[in-house]
Formats: sequence, structure tokens, C-alpha cells
Amino acid sequence: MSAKKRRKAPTRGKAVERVTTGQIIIYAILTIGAVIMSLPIVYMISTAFKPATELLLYPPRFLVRMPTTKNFSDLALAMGSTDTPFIRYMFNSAFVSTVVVIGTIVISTLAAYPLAKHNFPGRNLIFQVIVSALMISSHVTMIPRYLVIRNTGWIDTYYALIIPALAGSYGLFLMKQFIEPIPNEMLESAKMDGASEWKIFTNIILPLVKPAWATLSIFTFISTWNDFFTPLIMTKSDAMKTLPLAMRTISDGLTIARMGAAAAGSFLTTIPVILVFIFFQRYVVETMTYSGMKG
Amino acid sequence: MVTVRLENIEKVFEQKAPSGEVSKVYALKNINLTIHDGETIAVVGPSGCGKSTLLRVIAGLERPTDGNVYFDDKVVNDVEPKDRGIGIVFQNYALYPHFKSKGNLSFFFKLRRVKEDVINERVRITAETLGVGFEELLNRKPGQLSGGQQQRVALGRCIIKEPTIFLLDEPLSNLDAKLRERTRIELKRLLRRFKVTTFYVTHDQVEAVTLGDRIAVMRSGQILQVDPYREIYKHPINMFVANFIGLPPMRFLDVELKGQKLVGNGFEVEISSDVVKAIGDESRKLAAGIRPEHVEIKTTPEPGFFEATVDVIEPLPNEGANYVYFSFAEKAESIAKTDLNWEGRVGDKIYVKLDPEKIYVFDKETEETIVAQDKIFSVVNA
Amino acid sequence: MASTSVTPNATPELQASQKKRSTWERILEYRWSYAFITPFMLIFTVFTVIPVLWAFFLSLTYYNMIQPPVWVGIENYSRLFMDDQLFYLAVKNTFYFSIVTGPLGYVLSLIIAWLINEVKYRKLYTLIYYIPSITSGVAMSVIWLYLYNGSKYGLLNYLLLEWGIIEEPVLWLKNVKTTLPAIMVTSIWMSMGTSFLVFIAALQGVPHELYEAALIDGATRWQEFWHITLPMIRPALLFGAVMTVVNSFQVFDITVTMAGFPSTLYCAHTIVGHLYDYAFLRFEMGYASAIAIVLFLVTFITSSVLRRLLSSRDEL
Repeated sequence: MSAKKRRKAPTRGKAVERVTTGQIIIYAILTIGAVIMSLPIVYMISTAFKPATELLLYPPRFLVRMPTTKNFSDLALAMGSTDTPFIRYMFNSAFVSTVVVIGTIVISTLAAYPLAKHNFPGRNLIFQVIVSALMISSHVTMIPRYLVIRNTGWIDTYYALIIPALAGSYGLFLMKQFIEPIPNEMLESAKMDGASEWKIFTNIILPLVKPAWATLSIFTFISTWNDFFTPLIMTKSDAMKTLPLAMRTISDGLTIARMGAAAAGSFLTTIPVILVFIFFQRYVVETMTYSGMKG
Repeated sequence: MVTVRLENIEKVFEQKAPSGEVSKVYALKNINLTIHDGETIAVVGPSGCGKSTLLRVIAGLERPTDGNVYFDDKVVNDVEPKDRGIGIVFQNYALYPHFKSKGNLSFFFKLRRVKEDVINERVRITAETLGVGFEELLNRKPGQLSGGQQQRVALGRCIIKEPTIFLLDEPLSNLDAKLRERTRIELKRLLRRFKVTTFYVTHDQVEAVTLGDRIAVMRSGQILQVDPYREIYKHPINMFVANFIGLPPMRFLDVELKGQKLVGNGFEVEISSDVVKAIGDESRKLAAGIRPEHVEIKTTPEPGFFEATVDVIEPLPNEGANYVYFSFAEKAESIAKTDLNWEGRVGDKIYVKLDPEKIYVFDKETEETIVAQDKIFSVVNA
Repeated sequence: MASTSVTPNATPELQASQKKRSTWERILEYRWSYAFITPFMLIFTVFTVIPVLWAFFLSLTYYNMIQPPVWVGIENYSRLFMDDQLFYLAVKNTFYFSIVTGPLGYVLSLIIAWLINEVKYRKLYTLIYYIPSITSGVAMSVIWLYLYNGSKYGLLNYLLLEWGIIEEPVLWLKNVKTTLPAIMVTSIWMSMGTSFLVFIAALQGVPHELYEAALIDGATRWQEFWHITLPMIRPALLFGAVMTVVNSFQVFDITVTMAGFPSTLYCAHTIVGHLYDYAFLRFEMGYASAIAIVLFLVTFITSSVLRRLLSSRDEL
């Protein structure tokens, strides 16, 4: 009888040894777990395409038999009294998220460069302040931010959704972590060649930090897209709502009959994010090991 | 103490090429080896020859795809590493960074819930064995130790459990030259004291010679020759071994058999009729080699000596000798050994004789040895 | 007054020259640095630094946005702790929620990450377990609403009825006893997020010779996990713990979507919910700021405690 051999799953591409009973149990647990984890999402997709007849079936059916896209076209009506087409919410979410991503990349990278590489007066102080800000949870700043926005008259505009979102330190840290290992000698020799700071930034720094942009983009995009609280307090009119907010409205007084349209809404709120993630995900785990996980 | 026997060991890995093709890589092929009780076998070979894989097979970290491993006539293929009674030192020590040195040594016992005072006693004995200054290392973590210190701790971890087999995977290769020498001597002392069956992997010949009772030369997953150093040095079984063992590496000269002579580019060697018979056919492609100490150099012409030019002179004060690299002609180079007083210079003309009783003759196509000094390997039918 | 410390990896020449100039000269020399950080600093100051300070200030005032703020000292806080029953309920709910979902989610993430590290197809498994965490809480809550629907059409009710576990359909999200637990399940489902990825990366970073050495020393799977794996990934463990705690204290969007606002008898009322209530429904900005500050302090203290616990243990 063969003894149970425990083997570390290989990390460097060597051949895996034969499967043991231990391994089989692990695979079983993981696979069953994976199925359970996927159930709600599968359920969502299935329900989004269920015709009304299947929605009201008893016993309730999990998977759809005759998929239809009617729920999606019904979405606008499911919102009730408003004139806003669902597309508008999608546009808002997409627009805001994209602009925030671009904005974050730009200002974080710009700011990270001097913080990482220059020793200017006040650098340490500024850095300390930024670090401390990391520890403040977002709800502390929510109310004053609201007041600031109110004073500038930006309530219920895109500005309210975009500008404050750029004030986060996470992006700054990620970029700083990436810029730091760049050898100073590289920058010094460029200076001696007569390059200006801007040239150094665009020709040396930028090309080297691009991998970090992928990670930063994904996380910023996802957190902005899914953000519920900010649009909740910053918008008033229906036309400025983002998808999470719209979904909240749908969830109020939801009946089984309207589940199909609601699920279609969920579908449109979650699938884009999942797709973006899958597309960018290969960059993420690599960068995980770089960014400061020291807590 | 244990006799380890490897029988027909084979280890195959499957590799996927970028194109998607799966190919078989034989990390070990046809390995047959017996390590006698208490013996130290030093395994040498170029990178990738499989020596570390072989060590891992003996340890139980890899399972052979074919063949059997015997410890004292018992098949241990299915026995877990922890039950094989082995002590191991990895090339980069693999010390547990979060344990202090003492913790590293005693982990084995902690796992088996051995009592604290027994552990301490064992640690104390081991510290004594490892010599002066070891106690100070006990309370520090690996991160606070130098390379040499870490190596001692790794050694300590190996011997503290009183294993019946030592497996050492290039334990000295991460040390600087001076430290390596010192540690090598200490290691020899330890091995002699414990008389434990030892499998020692290295790429350094000097280590192999110092520490090994026998040396196994490996290449491409196979063991070419297993013998005491002197024997391998004198009677290598093929060109690879002849070149690998012995410093500086042996140079080969193309020669042909003509009558009773080996004729090369710019020189000749008169050989005995036994050798002629062993070679057999004059059409055979041959290579000749010789150890530097068997090359005679004169500065004036003499019969039997052939003209050559000095290429490089390598003085080695430790050995009290020079190695003189010379060439008879283009691509006919060899090496001679002289004492330090020798006055020749690069570019000088010298007159060289290769001792016919110490010459090596190889079949250039099969790379096998036909004649090695006084030993004739095979009599050939044409 | 300028900072005088030097860039850690600057060359000695650079450091020497830095000490000779006067402050103004240096500022001029570094004008580009300032230019680069200006966009960030501008937004950061206006939307983070000032708000933080303002929040502290506001919490000591009464401010309803119609009249200017009125100083009330610590009255908001005393009212919060002495008179506000709803706040206690919110705290109780939030803590209950955190204590269950926090450790559970954390341990689950760790176990799954460890299991994944032992097998092939890691990328696929990681993806499947991670994706729920990037879905919008609100959007998925809508789906969970369907699952938890209180009529017999709800999937959960249907299954339990079929299997004879219950007699009548349960109003999962209306019944005071079942609401929070139901939401906790959803939360745990979504909790394998950044910490999870960090665990996976950390586990992959453990040098595999250590496992081999442990194998030879004779460690069982459990011993190897406890003595080798866990200590080697300690930074990740700390990070995960802090993230989990901070997140769980801030639960709001899924409770609102699933249990409504207000929830039945406020059984799913959370601290953030309380904050929202006072700030944006009753427009008592001062009081709400006090709530925010309290939330912050609670989170801060808890993560500091965790940091201390998980950072300075030394073994053997």
C-alpha cells in the first residue's frame, strides 16, 4: 500500500507527483466550494434572462429554460416614475469610474515621483500626513466633504463624484513603491545629459511604472464603480445616479414579478466589473508582492 | 549504520515546450550504486547532471519513476523521508527564519513532543561536537547570522537527530574560499568521527577528493564511474571523466595510429605492442591525453622530444609548481608541470616528450578510454 | 523651517550639497518637485486633510446647515452615549456583525488560500473565489433578496420547506432574529477580497525548501502549517486582519439594500447607518460627525490592538 506523500504544489514548473488521497480531498473541497461561491452569480445571470412565466413558477426554478432579453428592455420601466433610461445610469458609472481611474493614475504617479526620489523641504512632513490619512476611514471625511461640495455648488454634478475620489492615498503608495527601486544613478546620469525633470519623468519613470498602472486601474475602477455611499450623498437627481444607487432604488419594495428586471440590473452592474478584472488580472498578483503588505 | 543501494533508478520529468509539445527529460537514468555502511561517496558532475536529484531520491523527496532504493536490503521507495533516518543539509541551508538557532536544531524533537531537558541535553552535545563558539549562535535567528554560521547551524540540525545517513547537497558552495577550506577540514573531522554513511554532492573536485572515500562522476543523469579518487585519476573510463577529474583539466590531442607510433600534429609517441593491439585498427579516430606530471620538458632539442611553443604559464605556489600550457602546433595543445624555478617564458621554444607509459588513448567517436596509463580497457576487434 | 533629513538612497555628493543651501534656495531648486505634487496635494488637502480637521471641529458643534454652527462642546458625545438608544442598538448590531463575519471571513480566506496553494489550477480557483468580492454589494444584495424572499417563492424557503426543515416560509429579512444572520451570510460570501489575494501571494512566497526541511524533520501537515507556514506569512496575516476589521465595521450598503432603511425594529441598523440617518436625513451635521469620530476611534483602536498582537511575538 503506498504511503501518503505530502508534496508542496510546485512553484517552479516541475512535474507534479502523483495524486494522493489528501490531494483528492482538497480538490473536492475546493471544487464544491467554488460551485457554492458561484451560485449567486449564476442565479443572477439565469434570473436576468428569465421570462415572466418562469419567474413566478412554483416550485421556483434555478436555471432558466427559455432565456429572453425582455428584462433588459423592461429595466427602464421598472424604475417606476422616472424618465431616466437605465442606460443613463450605466453611462454615469462608466464615465465616472473611467475618469477617476485616469485622474488617479495621473496625479498619483506625478506626486509619487518627487516623494520617492527627491528630497525637497517638507517632504517628510507631507509624507507623514499622507500616511496618517490612510488610517482615517472614509466616513469621517464624508460629512465635511459633503459640505465642501455643497459650498462649491457641485452637488449633483459629475465633479462631486469624481474630484473627491482622487484624494485617496492608496494609489500614491502603490506608485511610490514602484518608483523607489529605480536606480538613482539612472536619473542622475539623465540629469547630467541635461534632461529636465519633466523629460526624466516621461522618458524614464513612466515606462518603468506601467505594470503598476494595471493594478491601480483595476482596483480604482472596481471601488469607484461599486461605491454606494458617495453617490448616495452627492447626488440628488435621478439622472446623476450611478448603478449601485439605481439598484438600491430597485430593491425597495421589490416583488417577485419584477425580479427579472432587477436581476438584469444586477447583471449590468456586476458583469462589466468582472470582465474588466479578468482582463487585467494577470498583472494583479504580480504586483501584490510589490505593494507594501507589511500592514 | 546503513548500506544504501540504488538499483536501476530512473527519474523522468515531463516538460511542456511553449509549442505545447510534451517531452520526457531523464533526470536520472540507469543508476546503480551501492554506498557501503559508513562510507562517504562524493558525487561530482556538471550542473544539471542529476546529482541533486539523486540525493533527493535517496532522501525520499522525489520518487523514482523506476527502480528501487534499498536501505540495508529493505525497499524504501514508499517510506516517508521522516522515517528514513536521514540528516540533510541543503545548499542554501533552508533554516527556519522565524526560529532561533536553538529552535532550528530542536524542531525535530519539538514535533515529537520530546521533553525539554532531553532536548537541551541533545543541543548541548551537538554544540560541543560542532566546536568552539557554537553556543553563542543558539540564541540568534538565522537572519542575524553570517553565511558560515548559518552553515554550522544547518549542520547542527542535521546531526542532532543522530541520523544513519548524511545527505549533503553542496553544503560549502555558498561560502567564500577561505571559509570553505576551513569548513571542509572540519567536515572531514566530523565525518570521520561519526562514521555515518554519507552521500555528498559537490561540483568542487577538491572537496570531493578530501571528503569522499569514493567518487561518483555523473553526467546527464547517469553515473559514469565510481571509484576512489586515485583510481579515477589514473584510470578514467572515458574522455569526459578524464577531463573532469584532475586539475587542470586534461587537454586532448588528435592522433593516428601508424605502426608502433601515435602520430599527432607536430609530435609522436612510441607505444608498446599491447597498446597497438588494443587500438587495433589504424583507421580508428583517436585522441590522446596525458597528465601534466608525466610531460617532460627540455630547453634544447633531444631525440624523442618534439618542438613546442609556450602559450601560458600558470604559477601555483601552493602546489610548488608551474603549469606550462604549450602547443606543438595549431590545435595540438597540452599541459606540463614544472617546478617553480623553471625559467621559461611565454613564446619560448621548448622540447617536449610525452611519457609513453603514462599516455591515455581514447576512441574519439565513442569517447571511451582504450588505454589509461598502465591499464588496457579493451582489446578491440576491428 | 525645512526638513533636514536626506533622501536615504542619495549619493554622498548629493547629501553634502543639500546641507549647504538655505531653505529658500532649496525650495527654488526643487520647484519641479512641488509642481509635480501640487495636483495631488491640492485635492488631498481640500478633500481629506481639511475634512478630517473639520470633522473633529463639527463634532463639537450643532449644525443643521441652515444656521451657522453653534458650539456645544462635548454635548453631542454625551448625548450619543447617554441618551441615544438607537446608537447602542447600532453599535450592538455592528459589533455582532463584525465579530461573526470578521473572524469567519478571515479564517475562511486563509483556509481557502492555503488549499489553493496545494493544488494546480490556482489561477482558476483564485478567480472564482475572488470575484464575489468585486461585485457591487448592492447589486448582489438584490439577488440575495430573491434567495431570501419571504414567500414560498424564495429559493431558500422553498428548499427548506421541501426538506421538511421548516413548516412555513420564513421572512428572513423581516424577522428580527434572522435578518442579521442572513446578511452575514451574504457578507461572508463577498469577503474573499484583497486579504485573500494577499494570503495567496504570501503563501506562494514561502521558499519550498523550508517545507522539505520540515518534511524531513517529520512534520505533519498541521505541524507544518502551524510552525512554518503561519510564521512565514505573518505580515500578510496582520494586513488581512486589519483590513477585515476595518471593513466589517463599516457595513452599510448591504444591510440597507437587504433589510431596508429602517430595518424592522432597527435590527440591522449599523453605525454607518446611524451616521447617514443623522447627517443626511435629519441634517444634524454636528451630531453625525460625532458618530463618525466615534466610529473612527473604534476602528483605530481595534486595528492598533491587532497590530500589537500579531507583530511582536517571538518564537523559540
